[in-house]
Amino acid sequence: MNWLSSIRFRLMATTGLLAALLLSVTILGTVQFASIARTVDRVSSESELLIRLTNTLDNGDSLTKTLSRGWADPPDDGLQVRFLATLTDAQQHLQRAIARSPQGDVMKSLLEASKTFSDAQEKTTASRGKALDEIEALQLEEAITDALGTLAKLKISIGKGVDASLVGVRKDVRAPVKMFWTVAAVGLFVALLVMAFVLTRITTPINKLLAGVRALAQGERLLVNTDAKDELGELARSFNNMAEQITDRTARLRLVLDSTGDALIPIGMDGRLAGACSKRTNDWFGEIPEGVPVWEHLGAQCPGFAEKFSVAFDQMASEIFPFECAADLMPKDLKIGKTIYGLSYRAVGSVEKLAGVLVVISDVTAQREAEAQEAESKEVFSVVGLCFRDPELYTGFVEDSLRRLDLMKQGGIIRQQADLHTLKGNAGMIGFGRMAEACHKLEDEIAETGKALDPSRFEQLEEMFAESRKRVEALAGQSQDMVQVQPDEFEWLRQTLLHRDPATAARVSSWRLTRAERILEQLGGHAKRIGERMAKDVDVVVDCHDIRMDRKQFDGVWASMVHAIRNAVDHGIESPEERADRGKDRTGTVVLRGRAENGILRLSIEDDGRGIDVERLREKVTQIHGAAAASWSLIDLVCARGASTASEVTENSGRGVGVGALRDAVLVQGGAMRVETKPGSGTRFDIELPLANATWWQSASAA
Amino acid sequence: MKILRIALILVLAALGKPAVSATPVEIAVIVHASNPNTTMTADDIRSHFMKQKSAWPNGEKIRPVESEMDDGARTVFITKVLKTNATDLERHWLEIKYRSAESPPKRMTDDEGVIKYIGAFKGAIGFVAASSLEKASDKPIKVVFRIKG
Repeated sequence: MNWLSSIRFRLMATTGLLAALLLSVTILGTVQFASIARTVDRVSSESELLIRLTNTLDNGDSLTKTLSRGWADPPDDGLQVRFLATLTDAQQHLQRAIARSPQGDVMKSLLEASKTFSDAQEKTTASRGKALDEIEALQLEEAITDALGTLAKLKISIGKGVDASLVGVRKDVRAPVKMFWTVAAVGLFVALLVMAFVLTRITTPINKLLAGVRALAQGERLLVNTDAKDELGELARSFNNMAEQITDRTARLRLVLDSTGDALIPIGMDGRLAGACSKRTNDWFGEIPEGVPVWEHLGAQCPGFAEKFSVAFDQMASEIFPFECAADLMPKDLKIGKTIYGLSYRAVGSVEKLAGVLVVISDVTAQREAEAQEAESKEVFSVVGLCFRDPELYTGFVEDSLRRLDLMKQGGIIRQQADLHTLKGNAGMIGFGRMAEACHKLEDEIAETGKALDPSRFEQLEEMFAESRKRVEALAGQSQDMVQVQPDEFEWLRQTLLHRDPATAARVSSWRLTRAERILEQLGGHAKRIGERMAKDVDVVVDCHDIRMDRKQFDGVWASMVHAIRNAVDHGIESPEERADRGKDRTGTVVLRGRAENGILRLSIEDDGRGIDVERLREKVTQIHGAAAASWSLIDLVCARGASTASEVTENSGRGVGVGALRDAVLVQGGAMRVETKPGSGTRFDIELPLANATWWQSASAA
Repeated sequence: MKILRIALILVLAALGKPAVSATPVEIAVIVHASNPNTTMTADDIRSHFMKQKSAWPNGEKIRPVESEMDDGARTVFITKVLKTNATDLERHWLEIKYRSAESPPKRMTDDEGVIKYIGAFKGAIGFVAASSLEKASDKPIKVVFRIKG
């Protein structure tokens, strides 16, 4: 922005212009009035002289009349003295006036008057004390008359001068006044023009900005066109920028509102809709009408909701409690049909002043169901745990509860209350939390109504109890038949048998070991899950002798077998479509075998998939490991680092590392591993592990 | 010369005296003897007497004088010399007093006074009946104009 085109400079310049105008008018006026003042001074001194002269003239006129008496025979000395005094007085005035140097005609008259007065004084002084004859008296009188005459002339001359001065003053006054008005009028006109220009330059963009702001408030975008280089131009450009950003932001916000999975409803303090809702709001609840409280629309299908919302909202709006506390009292759930909506509330506005509330609504049906299921599962597992720990306690509880439920249906209010309370306590202790809650609700109902409950009211409780029992007992059913043996008892049994029946003793000892079948089943479960993820139909068959062993013994092998199993499902088994094309069963099969023969544990992983493309594998391995690989055996090729015929790496396998790791684990245990493959028919890995140093047991039948 | 003049005055006085009321009066315009003018025209007299000029050519202040006696001489002077009338003359003196502070002619009680006055001031000018000149032969005055009314 150029400083010269800024509003600040323009206003300063305008003010400066006006100040200069005022100053020049003042200076001109001062100069003019100073000259007027000088003229007035002169006039006033002349006027003063005029008054003195008039007095002298008056005195002289009256004295002249007594002239003949003053110089008669005998002479009147007093009159002569007065005569002389009058003349002297007049002469003094004249001298003083001459000293003040009045200009022109007046000066001439003064000098003439002074001369005649000198003459008159001289003559009077000369005739002092004498009596004059007629001619002498006439001459004296004439001299005095002449003197007075010049005085009169002087008076007229001064009068004319004063008149002229006054005319001059009038002119002098008129000129500056005229000039003042002219300068003021022209200055005012110019100043008004400049002001109008400056103001127009200010107001035009301001009006444009106002229109822009109004449009923005309406959600439209109106660019302010201005080429001004001043502050307002800057403002307009900033405004345009801002408007663009706001429009963009609004569009993005709209996108967010359209995309969000929640219903977002802004509510003003009057409970009415106060802004745009998210698209999901309309999907779930239809368009919220303006002008009615939002809760009435939301709660139309949920009895009691609107009332609860309204009361809590009033409390929130009153701002007596902190927002968080007030929000806690607001309804959290809204159930419409089978759908449960979860409501949460956010304050809009500042901490000091609540401007509105944003209601965030999400569909929590699935969540609530999952929570309910989780609660139920937890409950079931906790009770199952109890069943294992103390089956008698559980059995006792069940029997007691069934009895109480029966009795309650027939009993009166006292009976019902007592039984419900006991049932609630027992259920809580056992871990049937939901049942305890249901009992509590029924208790409340009795307390509220003060009446015994109808027998049908207990049906739900019975159903719930039966359902829970079913689930618990399905899981813990076997535990009913389990025998709990303490470690010392077990050791006693083993020792006892060891001497009498070593074979039985060995069997009893093997109870401490893990069944190989169980391990293979776990691996099989893994294979199934991989199949599911890969969208392949995989059937896993576990074929294992009754062998027990210390699992830790071959930990590395078991862990690495996962790789071979993954390979089988991932690369071996074809997709159902491919299998169908090749005339195979759509479901692929993976067989896991376990045998103990001659002190050797034989494990095999067999699939009926596409088999290994040996030539391609060899080609690939050759690329990595050099020409020597051309003569490698199949197992070497399969276990080579980087070996994989898979064209792409999947999340499960394909890196050509796993099988090598398995062989390494097997070799560490002193075992061996082989592989056989038939293109189109499948692959089989055989693993042999020596059991010589292992702790293991095999049932005689299997052997 | 002097005898002749006196004789003339006497003759004139003798002739004119009975004719004061009936016969025309001769008047004489006189000035101080030192006045450089020997004769004056009626216009000259008017401009000097009526103070249309303030000084004689020699710088002497003009001092007009007249007699308070309202005999025929004054009328003759006003009508024949000043070529005006008494009222207008009066207005003239008022005007001149206010315009330039000049005073009207000095008024003496009679022609004798007028002659005395003219004899006393070098710039004086006045008129008297020609008959009055008979007794003033010793005065320092001179006649510059004569006219019969």
